[in-house]
Amino acid sequence: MTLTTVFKRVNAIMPYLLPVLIIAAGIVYYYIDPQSDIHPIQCSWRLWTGTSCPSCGGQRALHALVHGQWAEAWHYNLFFVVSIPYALAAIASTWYNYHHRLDWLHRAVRHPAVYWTYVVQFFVWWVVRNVLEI
Amino acid sequence: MENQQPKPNDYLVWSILTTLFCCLPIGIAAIVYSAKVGSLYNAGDYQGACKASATAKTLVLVTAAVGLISHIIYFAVVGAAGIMAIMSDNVIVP
Repeated sequence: MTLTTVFKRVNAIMPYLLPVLIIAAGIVYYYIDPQSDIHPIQCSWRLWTGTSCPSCGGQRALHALVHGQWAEAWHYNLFFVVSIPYALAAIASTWYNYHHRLDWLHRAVRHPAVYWTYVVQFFVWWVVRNVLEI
Repeated sequence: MENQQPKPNDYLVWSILTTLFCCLPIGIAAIVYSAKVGSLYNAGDYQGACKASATAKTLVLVTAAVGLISHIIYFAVVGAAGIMAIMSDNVIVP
């Protein structure tokens, strides 16, 4: 089985698997506190370089989110305001595009202006958050 | 020029997810190649689109593998040390 086939099969089950994974992550991070001393999963970028990556704060944000602390969740990573809607739009238009209803979204997330905006914001946020230490 | 062949997979979702979860700049390169698949295909360059698709796939897998391996190493080293410290009743000062 080639890698392309593996990707095809995974893509076929993801529409059903994704909600399960999201709920499972919510339950796990309800009970796990990433800020406790013994939390073993840390961002590998921060681990090797000591600086924050664009997604650092994601686990703390999820922990805050499932505890109902919305404002606090955003405060851990402001870039999620951009990256999560973009990821959701790509996911919806790729895995949930039934009867071609989301073809417009499929084109929109692949528009050069849209993905270049994401790429530029990704790097700008990466620098800014380490300079300002947010 | 019209394409007779179907558009190759662009792996855009996986590229975005690797930038979010693996925290590595190679994920961004994957997004750029994912986007190239569509633009080359629409321009009629089917061979180019297939090449970009293959590159995007490789970049996604490399990013995921590097992210996973570095987490495993971290867990093996720091996680084990943390668990041993707890078991020997040492107080960890943050």
